[in-house]
Amino acid sequence: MAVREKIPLLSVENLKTYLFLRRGVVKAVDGVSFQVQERETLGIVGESGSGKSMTCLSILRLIPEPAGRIVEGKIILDGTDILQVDEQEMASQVRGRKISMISQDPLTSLNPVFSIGDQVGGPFRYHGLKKDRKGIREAVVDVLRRVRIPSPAQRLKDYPYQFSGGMRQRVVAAMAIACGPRLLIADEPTSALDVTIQIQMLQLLEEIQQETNVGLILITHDLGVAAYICQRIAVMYAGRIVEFGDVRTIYKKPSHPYTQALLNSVPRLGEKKKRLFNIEGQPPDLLNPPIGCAFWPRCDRRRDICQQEYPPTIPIDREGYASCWLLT
Amino acid sequence: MLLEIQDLVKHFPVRRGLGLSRRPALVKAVDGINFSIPEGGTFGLVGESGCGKTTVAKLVLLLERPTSGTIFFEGKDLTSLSSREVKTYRLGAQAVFQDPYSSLDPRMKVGGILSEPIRAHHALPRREIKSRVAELLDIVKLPMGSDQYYPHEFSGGQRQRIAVARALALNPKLLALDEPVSALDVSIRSQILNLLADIQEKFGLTYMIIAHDLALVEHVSTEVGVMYLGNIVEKGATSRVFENPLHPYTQALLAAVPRPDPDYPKPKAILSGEVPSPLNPPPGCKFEPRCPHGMDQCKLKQPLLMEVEKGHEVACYLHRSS
Amino acid sequence: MTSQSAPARNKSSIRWMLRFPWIPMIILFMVFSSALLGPIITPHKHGALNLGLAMKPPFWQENGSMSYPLGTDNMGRDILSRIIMGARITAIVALWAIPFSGAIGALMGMIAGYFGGKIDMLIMRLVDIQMSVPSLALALILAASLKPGVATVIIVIVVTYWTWYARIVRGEVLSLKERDFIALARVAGCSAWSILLKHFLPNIFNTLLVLATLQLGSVITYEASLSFLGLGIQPPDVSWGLMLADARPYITVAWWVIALPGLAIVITCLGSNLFGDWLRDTLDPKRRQL
Repeated sequence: MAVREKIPLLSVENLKTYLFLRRGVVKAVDGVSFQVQERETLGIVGESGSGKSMTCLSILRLIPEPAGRIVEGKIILDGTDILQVDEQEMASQVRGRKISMISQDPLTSLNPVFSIGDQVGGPFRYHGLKKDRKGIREAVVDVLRRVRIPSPAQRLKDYPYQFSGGMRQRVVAAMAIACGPRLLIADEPTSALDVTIQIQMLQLLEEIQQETNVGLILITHDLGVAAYICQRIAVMYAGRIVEFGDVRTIYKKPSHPYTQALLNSVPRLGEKKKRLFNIEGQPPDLLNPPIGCAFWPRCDRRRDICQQEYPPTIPIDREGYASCWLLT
Repeated sequence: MLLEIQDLVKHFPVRRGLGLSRRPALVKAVDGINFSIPEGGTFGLVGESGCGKTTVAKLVLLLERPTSGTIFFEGKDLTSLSSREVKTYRLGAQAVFQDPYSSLDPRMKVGGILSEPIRAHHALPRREIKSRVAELLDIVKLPMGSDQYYPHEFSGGQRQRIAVARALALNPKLLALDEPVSALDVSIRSQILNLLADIQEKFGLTYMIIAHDLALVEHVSTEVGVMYLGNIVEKGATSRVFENPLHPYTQALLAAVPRPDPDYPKPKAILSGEVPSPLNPPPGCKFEPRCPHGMDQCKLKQPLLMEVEKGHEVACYLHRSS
Repeated sequence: MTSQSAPARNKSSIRWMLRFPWIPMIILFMVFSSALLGPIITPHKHGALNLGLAMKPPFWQENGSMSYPLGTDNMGRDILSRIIMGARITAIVALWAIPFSGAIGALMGMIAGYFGGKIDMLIMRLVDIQMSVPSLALALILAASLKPGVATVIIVIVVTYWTWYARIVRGEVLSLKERDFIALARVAGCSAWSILLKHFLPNIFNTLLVLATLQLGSVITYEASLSFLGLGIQPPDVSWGLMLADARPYITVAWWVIALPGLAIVITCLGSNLFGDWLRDTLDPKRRQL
């Protein structure tokens, strides 16, 4: 990895999060490293079981316990390793304040029995940023306006069910940016939204980034969404980053067979093909992952060594890399 | 034409408040649509949530009764069938739904799931059922012996294969596919789509596919209908509609799809506001409130589908063929 | 050539043996064998009066003896023998009342939930009406018209408890109805009854089983109230509930007369609940493979 000029906002180093289940150990995140700068968007692309959501839950230290545990690694935010910080400080200083999250389902992200004003006020109250009711109310109206909720002052007493899916997602975004976080993690923020609403949400995320210089990690399985907003992309498979690079390289000159397979298998508007590229097999069973490269059972160009040893990381271009024996 | 839909309407009454009002509000889920599917073709129905496309599928499958309108299957009017005739119809039309986890009874073994349609119709004598089940497993490329396992022992993609196999059990002519791959992992989708294409060719099936993913619809369909709030606003051959979208809504939809290509011009949000609810739509064109080209006449009366070029129809006052 | 691999199965017989509910099974075995072998294994005749030996404490206390191991009641009857015979009545009542009320309740619940509309309204109003009548008042009315005894107790319990099953089953059916495989069964051409029997029933069976085991304690206490009111078991028949009722005046002087039958009830209910838990887990195809 190339040396960056600035100190990165977030630096994840060799993160390993394992789930210790009765049936065995699931290496959900198995040695993941990346950096995010402020005002930059990193996309983490992967499917179920790739470890993308677990990575972000690890950053927030919200992994399911006692089964889950971060067994190794450093997560350095603005110079501090937050894995060393105690839980109390994590809850009051980091979560919701320095790092925030927007998750996939607007339906379950909001509590149905509390009003919007109440819920969006929550972060302000909890982190002690505003003390009096009037101050909180103003702050809530202000942040709702920033996420483009029309007539926010009139809607403070409304409940989540009175909002559409897209609006609810904006409310969730409002709660996430309320305390001015340095890093925003969006886990499939648009998967549950219609296409015309999705684009509004993506534009909103862009605007928020322009206004606040927040660093954004966008987790998605949708290659189109990732191409829209991300400057750099990490492709994850079975708990590891199999390819990393700037968005143009990933989409135009992908190096890892998995990335290539994904890009070839997705139907694209305006390009009518007879048959889509077929990827054999299915996502790996993390309880019994394949030995060697996790992708080998599905790879159309596998060699013997792929089944024996995990491939080395080969640098690509200025700051990209991929782990594949074919590149040696 | 294998399937012909004429002026199909489905309104759902909705109880407002305590249900004491004399005229209940109506959700006009499907508000007068027309389309037809030739044998062997694939008709794609696209739209966003609330447009009514899933209701259309339920109507075609006779899971719901239409409020008015007709559905012709092989020339027969489905809306006036006796219950026995309905059962015969079911031999010809089957379905695959979106959620592979909800589509299979968790307490039945796969063998039972696949043979259920056959047994319901007494279509085969007992001793032939087992071999038919094996045949079906082979068609969808599941290993032999899968019939002894329970659904939860399979992955999402495999479950969807089981669902497809069940749909084929009775050798139907028409398959209604409601978002067949949206709940599956991206790397699995092409497997299932290719499988569906192979099966269609091999057995001469006709597909009606419902999806919100425009690229997918373009890939699989020969003809497409774009729905908005219960109406088809644009209809025609897939290549015509996608290359030359005429209705402002279709244009907005296509413009909003993010492409997996960072060099492609960024998608734009042409439409502001929300996808409205099908409750109490405006009297004129339902799209008018959000339409960037709204004219006065759009508010007065809903435009009808008119052919603008061969094989391409639009319901929009902007495109009035003289 | 398939690209799919067959699922793997994991059998571990040692684990299965560790998980097996030995103690509940032993308890239930004891109860039901008492029920079967009753008269044969009682050390004394359960109805034999012997006022001279009244209020003898259990053998481990002063004044107790091994010939009346659990002591005697106020009429000199051997508590152990009465507990054994009481198990018989408890078993009979439970084995008839619970399946019947469950079956009727489940049937009504399934019909109401699946068909909906007016049928649903009718059945649920019936349930509501019945549930608003206090159960003991209902029991009084019913028992007054029938001859008191075991059969009456069973009928009264069935009539009272079916509503409970009906409500819960209806709820389950309503949520199951939304699952795709139900709609797809209709699309496949299955008749309503075939869907109810082959799809709904197996999927609610677990709930029914758990409900049934929960009911056991309720049934025993209900039977006790009925017997107490003179509407249920009559002497010389004996039930645990009746023993509780009889022992009330003597709680302060002879704790064993009420505590021991009470203990029998508690242990039986516990055993039944634990057994029900295990049965539900074993029958669930999803949990089976762990």
